[in-house]
Amino acid sequence: MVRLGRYLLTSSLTLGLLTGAAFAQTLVDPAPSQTQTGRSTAPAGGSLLGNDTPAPGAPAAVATQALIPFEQALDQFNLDGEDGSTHLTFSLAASQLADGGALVLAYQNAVSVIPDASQLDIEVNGRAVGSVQIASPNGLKTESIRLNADFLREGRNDVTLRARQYHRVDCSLEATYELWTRIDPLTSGFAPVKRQGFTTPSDLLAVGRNSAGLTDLTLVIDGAVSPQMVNDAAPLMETLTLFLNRQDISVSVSNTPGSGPGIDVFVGTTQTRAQNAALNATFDAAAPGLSVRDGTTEGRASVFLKGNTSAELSRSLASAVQGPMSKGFQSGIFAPRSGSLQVEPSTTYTLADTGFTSRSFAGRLSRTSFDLVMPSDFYPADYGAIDLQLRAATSPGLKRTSQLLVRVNDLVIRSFPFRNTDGQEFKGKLIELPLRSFRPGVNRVELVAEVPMDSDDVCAPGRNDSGRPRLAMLDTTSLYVPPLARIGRLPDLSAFAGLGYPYSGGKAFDVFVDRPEPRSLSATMTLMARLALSARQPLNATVAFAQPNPSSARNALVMKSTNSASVAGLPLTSVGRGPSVEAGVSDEGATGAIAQDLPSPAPRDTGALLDAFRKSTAQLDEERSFKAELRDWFNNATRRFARWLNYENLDQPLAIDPQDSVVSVSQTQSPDGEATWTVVEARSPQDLLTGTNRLLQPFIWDRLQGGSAAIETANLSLVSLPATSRYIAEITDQTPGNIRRLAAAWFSDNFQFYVVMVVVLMGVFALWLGWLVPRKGVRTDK
Amino acid sequence: MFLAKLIAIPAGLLGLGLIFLPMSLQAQLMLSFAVLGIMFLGMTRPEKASFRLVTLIFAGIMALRYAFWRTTETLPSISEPINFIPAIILYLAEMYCLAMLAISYFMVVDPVKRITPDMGAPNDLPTVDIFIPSYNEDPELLAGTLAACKLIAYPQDRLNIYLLDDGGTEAKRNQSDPRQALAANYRHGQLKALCEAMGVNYHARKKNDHAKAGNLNEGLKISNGELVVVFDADHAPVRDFLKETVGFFREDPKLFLVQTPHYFLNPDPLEKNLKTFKRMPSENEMFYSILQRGLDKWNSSFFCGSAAVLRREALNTADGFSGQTITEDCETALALHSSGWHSIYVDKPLIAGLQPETFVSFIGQRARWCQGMLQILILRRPFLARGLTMAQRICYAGINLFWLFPLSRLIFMFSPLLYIFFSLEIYEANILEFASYAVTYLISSFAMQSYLYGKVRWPWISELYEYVQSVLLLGSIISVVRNPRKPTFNVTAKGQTLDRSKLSPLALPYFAIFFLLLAAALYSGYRLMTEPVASELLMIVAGWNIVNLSLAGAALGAIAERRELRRNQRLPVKRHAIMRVADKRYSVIILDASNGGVSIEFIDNAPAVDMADPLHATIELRRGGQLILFSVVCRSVHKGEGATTYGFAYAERTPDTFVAIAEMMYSDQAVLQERLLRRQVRKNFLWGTGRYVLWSFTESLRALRYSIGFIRESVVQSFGDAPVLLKTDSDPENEVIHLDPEAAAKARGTYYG
Repeated sequence: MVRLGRYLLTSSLTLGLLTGAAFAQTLVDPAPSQTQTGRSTAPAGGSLLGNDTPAPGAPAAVATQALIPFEQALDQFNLDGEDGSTHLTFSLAASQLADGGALVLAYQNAVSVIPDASQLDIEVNGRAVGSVQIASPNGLKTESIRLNADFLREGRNDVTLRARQYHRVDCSLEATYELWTRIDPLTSGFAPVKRQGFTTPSDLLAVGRNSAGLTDLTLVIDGAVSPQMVNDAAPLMETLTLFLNRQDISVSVSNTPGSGPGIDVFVGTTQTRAQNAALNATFDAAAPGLSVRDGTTEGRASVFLKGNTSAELSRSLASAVQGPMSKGFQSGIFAPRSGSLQVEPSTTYTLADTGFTSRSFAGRLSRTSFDLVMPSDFYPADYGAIDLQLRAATSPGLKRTSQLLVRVNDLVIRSFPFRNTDGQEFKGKLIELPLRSFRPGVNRVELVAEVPMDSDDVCAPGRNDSGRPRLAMLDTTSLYVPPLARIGRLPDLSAFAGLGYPYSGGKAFDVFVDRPEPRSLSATMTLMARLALSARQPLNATVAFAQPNPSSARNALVMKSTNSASVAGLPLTSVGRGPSVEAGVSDEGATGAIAQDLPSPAPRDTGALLDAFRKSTAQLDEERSFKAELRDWFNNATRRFARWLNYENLDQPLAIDPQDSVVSVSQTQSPDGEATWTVVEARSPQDLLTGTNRLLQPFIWDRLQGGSAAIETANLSLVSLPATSRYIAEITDQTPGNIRRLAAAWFSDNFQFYVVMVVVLMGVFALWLGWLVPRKGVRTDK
Repeated sequence: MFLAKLIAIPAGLLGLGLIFLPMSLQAQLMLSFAVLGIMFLGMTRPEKASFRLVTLIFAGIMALRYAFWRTTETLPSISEPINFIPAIILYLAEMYCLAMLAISYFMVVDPVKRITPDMGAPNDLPTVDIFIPSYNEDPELLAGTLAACKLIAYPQDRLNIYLLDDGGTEAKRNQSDPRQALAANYRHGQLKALCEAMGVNYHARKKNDHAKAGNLNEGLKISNGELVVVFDADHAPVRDFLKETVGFFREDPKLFLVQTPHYFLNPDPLEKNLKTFKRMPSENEMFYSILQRGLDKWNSSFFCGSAAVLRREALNTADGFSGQTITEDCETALALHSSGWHSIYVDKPLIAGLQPETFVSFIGQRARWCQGMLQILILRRPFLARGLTMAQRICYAGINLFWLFPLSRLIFMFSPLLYIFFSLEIYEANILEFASYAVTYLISSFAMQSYLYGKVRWPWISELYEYVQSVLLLGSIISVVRNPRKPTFNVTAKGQTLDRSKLSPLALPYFAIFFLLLAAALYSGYRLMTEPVASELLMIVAGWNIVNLSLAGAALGAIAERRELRRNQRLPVKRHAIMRVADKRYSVIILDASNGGVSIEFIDNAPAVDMADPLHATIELRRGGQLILFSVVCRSVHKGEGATTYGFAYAERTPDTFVAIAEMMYSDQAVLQERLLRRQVRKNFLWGTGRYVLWSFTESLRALRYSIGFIRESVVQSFGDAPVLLKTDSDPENEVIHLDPEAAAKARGTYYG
């Protein structure tokens, strides 16, 4: 797998580097200010959680350098529920190993968490390094743990955090959702004793985040920008994104290097360097090929890719990928990602494959979650189910309400009651998860075990009952992914977000940017970097500053803004990704709630409006006649049945209003039907940048689905709409088995055809038998 | 038509492929609605083959969809053996039922209605031997059957009647037990005298080898008629029996069998105890009115042991009647079908017989059928038998496999308990899935039951009969499977009476099951009320158990036996006659007749009747200018709203009296036909369900009442039947012989059939 990935990476990278647009265009706008691009310099140690308390110094007698951040995205810094855990990584250079350093964890917990009984257990590279009491409800508290070389290793180091936290006053199941601890990504990480600086590609893995909590990549282009420049730079930006393996990459295009933690990227051939005279001096100092050195400010790196031709750039990059960057890829993007399974059909996986370890649970509500990444051409329908074979045990004394809920993509799809109050052992209890609940790309699966006991009714706050486990969940609990119906069906934004489909697999496509100005280009390159991460390889894209070509057979990604005005009411500070993160934090909190994660959209369609009107003008219950109640019940039941019949989620919105959107994404077939266009559209370049950045936040990006989606202006939330119609992009598997599954899936979705076909075919057969039978045996046709 | 075939077969295969696709519940529900709609449309023209086939095929779609879903989605994982093992047993039981459903659809796809051909000129008619095999029967009942045979319209020189008595064989007469030997000798003498008096042949063989089949084969040896007719001892034929059957043999030289239905004058225990005999079609009518006609289509109608005509030539090719199993009839038919002989079924009641009256004898009869059919299945393997057509293989396999129903029925009864008491999940489905697949299938199933058998079977009656038999046939099945050659021929007891109502001696397991299901119903209710997250499966299973409980409740009615005082079964005849009382003549209508007496109504005026001094009279009947006389004595007077009915018993019963009885009861086939058709009224599902639910309550309460001895019955005194008087030519003094009713009673009630 790793070898294959490397091969694809190299080959597609080479291909990408050899392509390029033939014309150049001058930047319309001057380089954006730092504020506009969201790269404002924030003092080191600034917190994303707000309410900072001063970052503690290193432990006594140890002087440390700037923090090496954890690499994970923001949503992995949360520890929710009574027993929450997360896996983080940070990278360490060989030279820093001997002196060690300190693991710094800045955290804040919910007020509900009782301090005496709640604790955070910390493991580094599989070894316990200590526990701390969770006791910081009013602001950030920083814990620092000194680690010597014995606990550390060169390259990526694993950190496992497990928070066992209890409620102060409430022992109900619901109250467990109020329990959380947040690790601050900006002020947490590893503080090495020895400073490393940036001299090799591996050093880039330690680059810090900017004040917005993002990993900043700035492509420095001075003066005129041409598609050639962008096409030369794009493979490097994508390669760096893959190398860093961070989901919070923010790419900017600027005529000056950035400031604060981040990476400035300089790419130039002889030709393009001539067009960027101002940067010639900078380039002159760089060696040919790929080189890394310290940037202009503390914590900032500069990466140069220098060559005479585009082909030379490609070769240099390929050489770096196979050389000094190789280990970084293997330990990063190609290593098994904790909490995620990239699944293949007809294969069995265990929870251990997601990084889960067997554990006993002493609380009331256990939550185990992981991502299932389904193939991009997976057709979700009712032809099968993923078999979850539960291997677990419950203890005696559980209430009869105890159950295991399986949530997929935020919807409860199965509940399995733990009926035996005397305790029970499950040695592979089969729970079927219907394939229709899944989608191509990333699927969030949560196993929520509600295991209340009668003793919970007499709530004794602070009681530490960890010694009395209620549930043991084994990591041998398995998931069997059945043979899947495989067909490339578009539009499908979940495959787009989760796997970069249909732009993955080294397939050549075009990127059309209607305005070659910094914000549009920044949005475009950030999106391309993120797509490369989803595809797990660089894209084979050709950027052009133009409108899409309707007659082209190549797929296209279209970035466009309809006018230059910014959406009224959108705060300027939301430019870039700073404020979005705040929204993200609040969203993370919402992920723990049982209630619908995404805010319900206001009713837009006529039906919904009428429904709302009916509700607002409804008489009081006692005034209503039985007949009226019956009629309403019947109408409601009919409506629900009709929506069920059409596979409509009762909570899903009915339409997207472009006027209320910062940015919208939609997939369509190109006018001549030969290709797929994914159009990212906003009303202005500023909205395009803001909206794209919001869209790319992991919490949003992983929930992208359907045929179109938008970021709402009002609350920057995501609204996704199912595709009204789909078309077939490709069929990769033409075996009879797959054809049968496809038939089952398609007929399920279009059951009117199924019904008609069965009726007609069997009707013809029956009529023929009606003619034949009287003539067989004893004749009765006379 | 080749083109039609070219289109239809691929269409069917493609349709089948679509049916076996895993689909969403939405698709299943919509398909179910559409298919049910077309099914109901097809049911509107049952006489049209195309409509009938559409109905059957579309019902098949529902069944196949259910089977596919049941197979692919509802079974627990094999890694959970505690769930999986009972689940797979239940699954196999369901699949057995589905297989039987498919076979039954095939059987009844196009039932044949035969048109009787002309019998031919009298001189060309084949010679016929009538065999009446008997074992230990009441001579007066035999006298009735023999008299009816004597009256059959057929040239006397071509008709021979044989009473083949296995109760009076040499072996029986010389057995070591002196009491039994004496009884056999006594019986031998009596029956011999009876036959002589009635002008028929009596024969008792040496040994009782191979039971009924051996007895019939002995009959073949002592006779030489071209055709052989078999009547059970209690099966009295109508006058036109041969006229309705013999003509078929002239048309088809390869014909070996013309089978006719068995019509019964008395109720079986269920009919008697549930009081349905006068209104509800008998259990066997489904077989004789529908299934045998369906089998006839595929040349598979088979010999049912009686009321049939067989060709001697065919029997000779198979060395007579087969006796390897205890259902010699079906076995013989199988052997002859395998040899390329043909059979025909005539759907006209041409005999009237008796059913077992008590539950014990009823179960005994069914145990023999069950074991015999399974013996054939195991020993003769009809599906693999050489010489049969594929259609015949299917039909015979279906007929034999049917008798495994006790297994599936009991599995259905007990499966819900596993979930209710032990939470074993043996049927994995939520309520929406159950509604989309199982409920729609059940709807189609009930609709098809009504469509195919509605005229002859009320709703839920099949289930009731199945359950009632299943409880006690389970042991029979196990026994025959363990040792297929072990079962022996046990004669079915008939003609029994019950002096007072009481529980059957076999009642215990039915009560045990009823109380077990009742406990399960109460516990499931408790679980539903107390469990905060009552599972959908629990609701399904609780409902299922309620259905079972109703069945068990209604079945208690079958084993709570009502008293049966009637010794002789009446048949409504409505025949004009003259009654002579002293010198006066009265015009009367004979309303009904039996072996004991007649009910009459006076047309103009009636004689004075004083019960203290019973009225003696003579009744005159006329047939073809011939006068038939018999003496009667008045025993009862019933004043109705419009008319007064008088009950007369025969003053004496001589062979002539029995001829007169046969003349009254069996001269007109239409009497039986009318009585049969009168009950064949289609009842809708709701009515049937309501009736069934009512039984569940009332009959279980009645059974409970019987169990504690709370039975209010007054003693009823009745007059005994007149003795049978014989005047025989062999008697040198031509004295009258009284057939001793007591001696006969000792051996009463056990007959072949």
